[in-house]
Amino acid sequence: MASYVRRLPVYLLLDCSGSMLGEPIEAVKQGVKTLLSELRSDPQALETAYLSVITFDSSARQTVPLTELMQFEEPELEAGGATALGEALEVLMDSVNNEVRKTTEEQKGDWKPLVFILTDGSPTDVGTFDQAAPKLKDMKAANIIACGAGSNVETSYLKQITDNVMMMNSVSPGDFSDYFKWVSGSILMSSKSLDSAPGAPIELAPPPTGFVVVP
Amino acid sequence: MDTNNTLPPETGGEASEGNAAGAERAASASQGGSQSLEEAAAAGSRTPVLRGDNAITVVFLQPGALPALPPEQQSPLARQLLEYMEGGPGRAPTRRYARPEKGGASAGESPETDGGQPLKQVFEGGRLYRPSGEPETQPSKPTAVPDYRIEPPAAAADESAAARPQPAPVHDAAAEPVAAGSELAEPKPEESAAAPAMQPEAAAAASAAESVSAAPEQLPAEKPAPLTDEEVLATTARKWKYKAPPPAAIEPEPTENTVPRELAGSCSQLIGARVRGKKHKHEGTNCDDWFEFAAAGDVTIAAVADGAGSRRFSRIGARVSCETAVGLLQAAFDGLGEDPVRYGQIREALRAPLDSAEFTSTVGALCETVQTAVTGAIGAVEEAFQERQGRPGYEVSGRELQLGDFACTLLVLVALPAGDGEQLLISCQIGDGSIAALDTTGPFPDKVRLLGEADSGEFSGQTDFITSPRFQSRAELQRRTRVSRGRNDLVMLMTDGVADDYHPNETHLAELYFDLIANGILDRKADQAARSGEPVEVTLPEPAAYPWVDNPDIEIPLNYADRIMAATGLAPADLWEHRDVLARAAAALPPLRGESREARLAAWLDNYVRRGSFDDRTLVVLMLDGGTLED
Repeated sequence: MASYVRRLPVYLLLDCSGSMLGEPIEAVKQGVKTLLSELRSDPQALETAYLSVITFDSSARQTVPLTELMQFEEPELEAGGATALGEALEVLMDSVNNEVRKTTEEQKGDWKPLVFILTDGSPTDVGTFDQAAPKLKDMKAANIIACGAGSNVETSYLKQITDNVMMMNSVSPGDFSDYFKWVSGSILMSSKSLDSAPGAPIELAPPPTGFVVVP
Repeated sequence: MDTNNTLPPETGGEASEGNAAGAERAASASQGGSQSLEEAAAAGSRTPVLRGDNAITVVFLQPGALPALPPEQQSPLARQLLEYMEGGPGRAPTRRYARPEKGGASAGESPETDGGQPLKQVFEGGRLYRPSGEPETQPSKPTAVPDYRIEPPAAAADESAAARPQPAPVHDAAAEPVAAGSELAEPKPEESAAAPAMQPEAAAAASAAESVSAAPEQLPAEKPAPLTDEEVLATTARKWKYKAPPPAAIEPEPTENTVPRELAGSCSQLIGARVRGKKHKHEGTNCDDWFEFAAAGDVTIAAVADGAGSRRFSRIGARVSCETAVGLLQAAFDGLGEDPVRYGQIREALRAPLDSAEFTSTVGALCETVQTAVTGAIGAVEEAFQERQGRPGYEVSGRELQLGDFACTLLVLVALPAGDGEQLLISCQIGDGSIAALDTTGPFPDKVRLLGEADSGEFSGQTDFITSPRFQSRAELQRRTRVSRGRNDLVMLMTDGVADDYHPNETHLAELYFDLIANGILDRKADQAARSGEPVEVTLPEPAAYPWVDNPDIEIPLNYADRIMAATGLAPADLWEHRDVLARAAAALPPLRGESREARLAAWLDNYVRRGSFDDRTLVVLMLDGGTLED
């Protein structure tokens, strides 16, 4: 008898703008591999975590739809172009609306999705961004954590999307690696707060050493 | 008087014989036929809303229907019951719950054996279920052996088992539990020889089991079709690890892995068990569930609770709230038992027509009593919090202890016989989990009677807890009170860990009943389980075996009603008529040493596998009025 599992949907929004070309995008690719391998060693993640990747450069698209962990394949990531973070947020909202199951009389709803945004710059599609960000925040449809990589990030933009913002130390491969390890730790840890009352802050792993939480 | 349960909502039949007030009630009752609770509350009527559903009538009491009246205006019955709960003239106040030892967190005493009723450990000789009081230290190698060790292990999920004859049950009668520290015994040669017909199948089954649970680590390169749950479960089966909870010095008031209990009342039998879920075993944290039950004369009382997973001491809230709610209700009805005149009046009133003043006022008083017990339970949790404030060992990440650290759900049920084989059930449910009532002698329930609603938002996991300030209001408790009179001979209370596996509950909880039969917990005599005509000829699937988390070298085969239905093509309604099929499936399982129902219940809760289901599991089964099982 088919019975839906309560899934934990995880969306990764990855900046693939021109400034990520070279070491940064390679580090991101490696980071995604690390994330997958850590998650795949955890039975709870294997049974419930579903991943999706949304990439943004001059436009945005859902590169990998919500896929269960065992079948997830890392996408090809290429860097180049602008930073359409606003459009990425719209793609995110569409994806969540289409893919995440809500509790109804017939089906069990998914857990509230986790969204990890990684960017090394500021949105270039400011008009779209200014509309999308508050809409997303108001939806309260997900637990969103934004991470800025490097000095070109204006955290004020990220704060419009979510209260959970942190800044990477630098843009070194080591930092990206630490970031993705933290992402996997947070996904694994989020299971502990899965029954928190609505509005309660989600429990996240402490940020990696040197990362700064933006108040 | 019509005690037949087919009271459709629109009928004004009985009430129209009565007075004008009765007619008025009937009119509002008929309006209530398909009214939602919210509509009924908005209509402002103070009379109960009758809703006929599936031949058992449920009465919803509206908020404000029974306001908390000052004592001089309370019904005499409610006052009397309240006195018993508060200790009454000349009585000592009811001991509510076990208080922590003075001297701080390192007391580590077992809640089961301190004060309150010591639990009956009926599971004999089992190493699987540790005796209470001893928090485990971290074992370097798992050595526990369940008494239902199977030799040889059966195959894991094999849907195409249709052609194979049923394996004979393997009796492990000669085997003694393996001594701690020794190597686990391989299947004993003499026992395998005793059932030679088993060998080829056993070997095939063993190798099939190995290949399935060997869990391919490399992932398929191309996999267009989504994976089946069985494939995922085969991968995760051996990844679930076992860690004991921290010692009491670090994490005070630890709870056991598994607790089975039973109780025989004067007209009921109860079995209950709670088990520590895979998630807590993997993470090395305590079980957060609790249950209590008691009988007071022919009144049966039960409660289950689930501590919030993210709150550090929620297990204490769960324990305290169950012990208090059940303790208070037991005091109330024990006291009533000593007033046979009053008790007789109540019994009569419970048989009266549903919309009669006699019935309504009596049930109203009983509902008030249940709500008072819930309020008492909440108060006890508050006291438990206050007593632990500032104690060493009770800090939470460097901040002060808060009431919310004890947050839990609470589901309470009282059952009284209402004559003619009917039961009156009164429930109060805060948070998720389910209370479900079945008439096992009746037709298949398309919708199972649920006595309560889980509060949750649109995302999973948003649930209410008893520590929330809104439950200080009696009206909120009234909103969560349900009454049912009918042939409810099987009632199940469960926390979310079980309820969530039978979703949606209304249409799927009958399957839980099937699983209990199929695993030898209920309806164990095949001939008694058959309801109609000839037994059907079906070929049952093999039980599905998964490694036991506590010791993955041991696999535990269990039956699953959904697999049986898929393999035999029987729909739930068919299986209801042919429960002998399930009993036959149960007969194919290896027997448990000690083989009490509650031990089997605990073993089943501990081991049934469903994707994404790794929460603590608690289930209490009430078999009322002679009920469904005779062995």
